Amino acid sequence: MASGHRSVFCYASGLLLLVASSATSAMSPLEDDEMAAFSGQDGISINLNAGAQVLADEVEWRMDAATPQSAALLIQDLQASLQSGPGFTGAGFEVDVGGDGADGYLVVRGSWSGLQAKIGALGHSYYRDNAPLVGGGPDRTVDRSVGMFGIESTGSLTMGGVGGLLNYGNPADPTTAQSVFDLTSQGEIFYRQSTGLGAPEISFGQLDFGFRFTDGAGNPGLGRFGIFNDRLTIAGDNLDFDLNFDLFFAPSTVTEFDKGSRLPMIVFGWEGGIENAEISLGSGGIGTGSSVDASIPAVFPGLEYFNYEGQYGTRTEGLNIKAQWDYSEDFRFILGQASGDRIRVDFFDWRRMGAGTAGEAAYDLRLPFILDAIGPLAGADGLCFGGSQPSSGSLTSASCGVVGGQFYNVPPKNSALAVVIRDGGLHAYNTQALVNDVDGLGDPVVDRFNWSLLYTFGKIDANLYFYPDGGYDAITDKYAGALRSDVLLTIQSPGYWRAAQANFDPLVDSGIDPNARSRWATNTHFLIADTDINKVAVGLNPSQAQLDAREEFGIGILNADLLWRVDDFVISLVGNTAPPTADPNSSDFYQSDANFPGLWLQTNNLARYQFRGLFGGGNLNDLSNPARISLIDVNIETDEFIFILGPPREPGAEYVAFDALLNFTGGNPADIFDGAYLTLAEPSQPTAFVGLTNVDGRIAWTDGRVQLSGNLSTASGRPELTIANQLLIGSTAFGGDQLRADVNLGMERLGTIVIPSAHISSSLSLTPQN
Amino acid sequence: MKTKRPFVSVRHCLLLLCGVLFLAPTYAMQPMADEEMSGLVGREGVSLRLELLINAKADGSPMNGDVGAGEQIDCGDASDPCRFAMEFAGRDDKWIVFKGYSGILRINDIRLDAQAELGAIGSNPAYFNIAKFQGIGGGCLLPGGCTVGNLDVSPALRVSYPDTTPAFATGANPAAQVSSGFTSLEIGIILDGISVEFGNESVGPVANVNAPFLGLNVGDVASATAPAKIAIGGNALIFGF
Repeated sequence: MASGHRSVFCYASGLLLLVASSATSAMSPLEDDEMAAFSGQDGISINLNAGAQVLADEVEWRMDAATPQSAALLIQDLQASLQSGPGFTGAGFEVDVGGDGADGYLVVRGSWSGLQAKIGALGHSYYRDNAPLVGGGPDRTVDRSVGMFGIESTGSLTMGGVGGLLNYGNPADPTTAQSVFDLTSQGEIFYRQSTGLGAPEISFGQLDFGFRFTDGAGNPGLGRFGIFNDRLTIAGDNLDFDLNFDLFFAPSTVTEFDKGSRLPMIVFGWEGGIENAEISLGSGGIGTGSSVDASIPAVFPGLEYFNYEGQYGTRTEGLNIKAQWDYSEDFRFILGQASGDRIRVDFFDWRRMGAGTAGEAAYDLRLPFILDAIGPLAGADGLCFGGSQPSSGSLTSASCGVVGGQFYNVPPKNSALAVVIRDGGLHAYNTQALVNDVDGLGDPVVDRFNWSLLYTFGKIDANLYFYPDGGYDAITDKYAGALRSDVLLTIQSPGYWRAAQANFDPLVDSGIDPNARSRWATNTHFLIADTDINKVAVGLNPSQAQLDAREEFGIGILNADLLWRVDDFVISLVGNTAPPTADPNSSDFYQSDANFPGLWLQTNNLARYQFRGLFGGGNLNDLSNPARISLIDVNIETDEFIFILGPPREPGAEYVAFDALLNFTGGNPADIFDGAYLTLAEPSQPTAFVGLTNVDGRIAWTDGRVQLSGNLSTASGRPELTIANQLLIGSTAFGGDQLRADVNLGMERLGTIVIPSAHISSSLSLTPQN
Repeated sequence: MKTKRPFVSVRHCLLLLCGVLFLAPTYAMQPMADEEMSGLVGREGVSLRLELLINAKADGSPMNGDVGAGEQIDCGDASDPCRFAMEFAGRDDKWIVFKGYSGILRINDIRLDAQAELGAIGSNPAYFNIAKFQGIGGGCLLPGGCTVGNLDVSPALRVSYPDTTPAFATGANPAAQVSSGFTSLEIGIILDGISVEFGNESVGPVANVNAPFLGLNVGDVASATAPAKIAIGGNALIFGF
């Protein structure tokens, strides 16, 4: 194997930076038609013929060089080519530079056709950095890989504007938003973990991606793109965003990146307008240390917060991304069948939770995250769950104890690719749903409902560590792929659960947050909502006045907290045919299971999934005083966990298959909240709860199906969502231990229930009322 | 398509209770007249259909390990695997074991919806029993006060069953074992017997030492395993406090 060398990409990026030098000249606004008049004038044009090829042995992206935390992402065996043949036109780029006498401008336009790229291995430098040099160079034979990726794309890019390619303008002056940006790509992405013949693949087919400035009415518009406050930032009042794909799984393949063998699973899509968007990239990884911060409103004084993004000190090298936007009315979240009649449901007409109330969030979606290749012992600090914690910031372990929360940490092993999220949030929900169905002749039938599948996320924090786990294979001179991760994720409604335990009475608990209920608009909710309870906006095309007059009521879990903590979570592609070799170290090796092919998510270490909140409902204009039915707390703790998502098991069927196996851990019998449990409490008397505690034993789901049915195939004649599975308990669950649980009334144990074995077949269907 | 089924007398008993759904006793409920109900029932809530087959085939008979049907349990096996067991605190290692257990539950069209404001419904004294909203000692548990006016403007969850057979036009001919219209709910339970068994948690629940003393069968005379079928119509309004 040749030693790694820096690729042509270094030169390419240098060239880009040269081109990108921003001008500082005074500017006056440029009208759309002026911009159009600029195009196609003097400039530079580069064309690549179809059939052109680029090869790179390795791209190394190193962070924290020359420090003990030094680590790099390795992108290896990179190939890119432009397909030739009928319909493929190669690639072309133009750089237009010009001016209108007052302002200079620069616009880059490019388009490509039939681009095919392959990443042979994706890894982390840790293994190589810690190996002895071979022949004076790094030893690539110790490298490990996540797997192989295949990418196909045909698309175009236009970017530029007045004052230079990266001139952001003055944010205080709307007339200086003078950039154009339009990125469009249609293609495919494939992922496989083995080079072996027949190896399974997961793929994102018919992947449409688009991101462009608009004028708010769907026409090309102007925004801001450039360097602002040391960050590469794209911002606009109106943008159009598309990400649509069919998810496929191929249990066995004939060739690498095989389109012919794959089976359709589901359609996912996000498309439409977004507003007030700002997405920025900055340098800086995970920070270390902590500080008291009195500027964050808190119930308890003197709380200490982690310096996760360098706000109280220094941070390591890395990349951080801040994304924030609001959804336009036409934005759609799409779910549908990836085959057959391709019935799909669009969830649209988004609305901010608590819009118009004092507590509404300042944005619909905010997702700040840090990407960092970390060296040994350099992970992010842990997370505080529950208690009267503030609604922003990341508390230290000691301060988490002060507010009555539980502190969790899943430290990274050795070194990893870290994705760290702090203070994310989603505070908007759809208010209409459109079912795109077909009639008996195959003609489109559209059904509109005032319905919401409502999910809002109050405070999102996460530490996700990914490890390449597949080794180098000397015989094939390639890398086997495998992906392992450690996950710590919390999505919370800060302060609510502790306050609810005291029924919001400070005389019962002086440490509760008095604002826990009034913060409902920025809390976590999972509801099914009727968004027009008075039926003022019926029919396919209601007027805006009718839509505005709707009143909304939701039922479900309000003010929820979620905790997901998994150690050694392995993500594998499992095929249905035997691999060509039995050697698990060979790159030709892959796991196979004739009965359960699919995407396996698995851990044999402790995993914990906790979900708690108020079961009830209320008017979505004011959820501060909802109808309260019960406080629910579910804690699933397992020492073996497998969840499988796969394609339909019968040819031609249209559903997403799922299977699972859960080995519950009973925990300490003396502590009912240790180990797996489920409690239901009366909201006004939270100490009066019924519980199944110290749950132990095994359950499994097989033949699970999530199925969307059109109006032709349901008895009600309306679209239907069905979730069905076979639940196996105890010894029927692949020879597991019997399922047992203590029954508690409050803290007192009433008795014990044991189910040695059972087979329960269940099916739940949701359909609009007739 | 629902087929006509013979009926059993248990339906008569249950039907008497079917004007409203059963919920926890703290929730205030009274039957409503049809015209009032029509003013309440929405059209765009969610309708749920649930089927649960516990150790049972779709026709209600116990699973017998039919491999072709994917059955993972055989209730007729000598080890008597279709069972569950319970013990009470303070009576350790003494198990009440429910043996030969299988069951079927079908809820065919239950609806979840919402009622923002009751309007004039709450002011009907037939629906408003203040005692239902009071805690021990008579204190009002309802935010905003235990008054008709407050109830009228309080949001409520609505759980409803549509009257699938208008005006409950169910029919039954016991002599011919034929009935119609009982389509809302299906329940079947087969329990061969309850025994008391002794031993620790890994022994007692699976023991087969003592003879059973009580069996139970909820079903329909149409066949030995057919579930009982019940017609239900009405609304439950749930106020939280």
